[in-house]
Amino acid sequence: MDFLAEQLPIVVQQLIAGLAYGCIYGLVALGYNFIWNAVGIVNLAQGDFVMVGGYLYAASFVPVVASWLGPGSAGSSFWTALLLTAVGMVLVGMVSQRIVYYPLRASHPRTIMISTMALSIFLKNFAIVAWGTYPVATSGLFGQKWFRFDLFGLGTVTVLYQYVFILVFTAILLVVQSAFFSRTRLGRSMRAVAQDQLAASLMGINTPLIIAITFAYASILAGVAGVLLAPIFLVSQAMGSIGLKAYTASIVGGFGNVIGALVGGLLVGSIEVLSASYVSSVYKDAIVFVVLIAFLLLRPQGLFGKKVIGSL
Amino acid sequence: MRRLMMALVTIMVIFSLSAYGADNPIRIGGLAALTGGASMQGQQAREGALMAMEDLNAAGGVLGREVQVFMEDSQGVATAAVNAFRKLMDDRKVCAVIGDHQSTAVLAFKPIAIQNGIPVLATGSAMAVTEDANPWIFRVREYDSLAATALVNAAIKEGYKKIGIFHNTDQFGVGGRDNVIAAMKAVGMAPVATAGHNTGDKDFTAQLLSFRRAGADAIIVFTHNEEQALICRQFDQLLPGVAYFGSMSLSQTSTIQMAQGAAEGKYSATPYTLTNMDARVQEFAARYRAKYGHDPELFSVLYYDAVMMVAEAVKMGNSDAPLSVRDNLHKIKDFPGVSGLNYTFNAIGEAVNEIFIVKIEGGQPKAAFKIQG
Amino acid sequence: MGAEPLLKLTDVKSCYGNIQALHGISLEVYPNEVVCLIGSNGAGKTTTLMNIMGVVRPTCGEIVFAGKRLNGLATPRIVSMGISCVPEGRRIFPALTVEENLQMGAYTQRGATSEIEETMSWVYELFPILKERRTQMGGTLSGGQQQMLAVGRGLMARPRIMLLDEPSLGLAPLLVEQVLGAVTRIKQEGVTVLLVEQNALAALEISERGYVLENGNVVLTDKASALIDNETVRKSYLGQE
Repeated sequence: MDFLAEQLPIVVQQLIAGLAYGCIYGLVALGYNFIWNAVGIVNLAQGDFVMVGGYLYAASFVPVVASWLGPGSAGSSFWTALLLTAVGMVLVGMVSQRIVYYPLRASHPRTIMISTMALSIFLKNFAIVAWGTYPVATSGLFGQKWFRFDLFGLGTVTVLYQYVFILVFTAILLVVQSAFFSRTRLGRSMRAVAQDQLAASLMGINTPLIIAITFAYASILAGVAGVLLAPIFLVSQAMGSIGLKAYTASIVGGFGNVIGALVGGLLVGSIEVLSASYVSSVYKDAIVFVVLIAFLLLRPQGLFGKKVIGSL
Repeated sequence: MRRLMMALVTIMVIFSLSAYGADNPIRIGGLAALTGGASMQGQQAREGALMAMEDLNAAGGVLGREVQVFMEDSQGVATAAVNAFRKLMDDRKVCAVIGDHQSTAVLAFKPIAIQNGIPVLATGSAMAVTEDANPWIFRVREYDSLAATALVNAAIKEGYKKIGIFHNTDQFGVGGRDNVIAAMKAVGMAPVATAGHNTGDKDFTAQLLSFRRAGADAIIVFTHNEEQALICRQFDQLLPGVAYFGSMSLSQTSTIQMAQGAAEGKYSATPYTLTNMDARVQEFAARYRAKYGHDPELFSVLYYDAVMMVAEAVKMGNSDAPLSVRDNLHKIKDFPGVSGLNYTFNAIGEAVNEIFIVKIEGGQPKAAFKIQG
Repeated sequence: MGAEPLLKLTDVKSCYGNIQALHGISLEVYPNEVVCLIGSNGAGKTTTLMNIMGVVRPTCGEIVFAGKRLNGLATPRIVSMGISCVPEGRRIFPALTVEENLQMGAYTQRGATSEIEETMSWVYELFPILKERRTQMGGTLSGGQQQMLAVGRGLMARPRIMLLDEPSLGLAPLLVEQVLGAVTRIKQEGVTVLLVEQNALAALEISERGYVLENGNVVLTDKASALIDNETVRKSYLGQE
């Protein structure tokens, strides 16, 4: 009992971090799912979009915006830079799909996936050329500020403001997203195209355009993930590796399923953080990938998926 | 078809002429991770090596010949390093190779270098690089046990008794951990806790809390720049009042910047610090800043000095034959480097035998004291 | 029968990859007619419709709708000119509600919301069951209800001509009657219909004229009543000796 009481504050503290990372994985996983639903391919460059988003924000827009707005404008700088990053990611997504997907759209999905792999390699090297090899540190809205609270007299919990911000921001984003998909003409068309491309074009929907917009939206989600992570992580090429965690989240939740992506993300984030504490900090990544393999073998449709997907 | 063949032959002749032209330059190879996770250090190395080449050529070259430095990308990966080494040896026909700054890479191409007789001036710090005392292998950097001993001594000197070790799980970090344990054992101590992390990890809460539970009053952290910076940031919140002794990466300006103020008051060990008021250090740093727009770091000066020493060995033996370069490197005495160090290679090829303990103050690594190996 | 055909195909040839699917189809549909295309599997009926919709591009020949050439136009453009298509297999959007499915049908109707709502209440009048189920996901409907939804969705575009591909496929006889009965009511509302059916008899019964397709060619065309009596048609397509 004493042991439990002693561990509880630590577990709570870790879980808050784990859920925050989970939100990030979920956002990236959503991107995988939207592209998967629309065109039936796994975009292997999705993780690198996170990195590009992080760099656009931390290395390109924050310094520029801060110099426009002058000192003492941390808040408005953040939101302006976030907005600019989102716009930048629209371009990244649109241009990428025009080069990597569109010319190959009639080919086997495997061919297109190889082409997204090439995009991934290109983006990593592009980042070196564009932003150099030094990891970039940025402070975001809260910098490195932490707050402490007492948990039922059992002990102190120390939490980064940024973690809480990630949780709140993701929640709001999801509400907005769900309204967008159900209430707007564009959102409904994106859903229609994802469900049946031929039927959608027979309705008069410009399907290639909607697919391009879907890619753009998936890259906005990845870019936002990059912006949210930038103050906690350092922005570097290594950021792209988050793609694999998010992919795991997609599989765990059920590939193509929107709620699944989030639940999968939250699960992966929590497993990662708790296994670092209670199993092995060195093998925490390995543990996450054991979960991935276990799901692929035992429940390939994931927690929420219905369709069993073939060769991925 | 014949015309095409003729054209190809002509092109090949022109290329071979430019490679083996009448001016016959002195060719020196450099290896560093120019891309990949360690590319930050690799780029510093490249800048230093190329600056040495320009300085040598501006002074009329060596033996009246132009000096060419070829930097190849080891990507921080052993196989890539071996390929890059072979390219330098077979295609570029270099007389010596400087680097790599990662010991894993050095250990991968070391047998090839020895077999083919190419002197290597390694900049990786693992003990294994020089432990077999092969005459072809030199090291222009501090070795791990020197840094580990220095950090342990510094912690003891500052009055800390319950020391924890936090290390990267790669070869560098594990070697560091073992050296710290050995150095502590030598003075009758043992770590209160040890914990590992992987390259690329971002969240160190679990490990830092384990030091708190163990009641550590100081931790020694052996890892690379990015992880070092992130650990510093999380450390202050989770382990207030505990002292922090970081491996060399913490002394680097880039790490201190990434840590965003969290490096303040922490200790590190490095053979090179910008706060060393030695005129050579200051003069070089000023020229480097003017050229590249940022401060030189450890690998900038080590690669610069290594190129200069190879040039010196060529001059001494009046030849750029690898064997001559090797033998004359062994004869170099107290070669003054822009690092502020004077280099003399000892029996196993080590040139750096002293190290500074620095404390980060006002964003600068201030030299606290010097420890001899 | 009006003087000018609303839709006219002249010698349309088309390929799927290397296989030629249409060997020169010519047909005409006049305003406010119901015309049916009958023929066995693989005769080219669906391909003909896909060529009209611009999903498949003809390699030669001409498709003219209301005096305008359709060759080379993109599908959305063709839809907005007043042609809508109810595809084979219904292809409703399974994870959109019934009402959202209908809204998708009105995608090209950039007019006032009130007009769209008016069309929707007309569709609901035509198929009352859809109104009952309007908040349900399309995928949860029964086969017959899905077919009604597909037809209703096609009507939402307020088309001048509607292409219906195998609306009776896989439906129980009672439902076939209901769906094809709707075609007659659609015609009464002034919509021209081009109907593709394997159920030749049922199709001919509600059509004015019919075309018989075989291996990508039109082999026979006549008034529907005459085709029902035609011996070859009876043998091959109506299963009657």
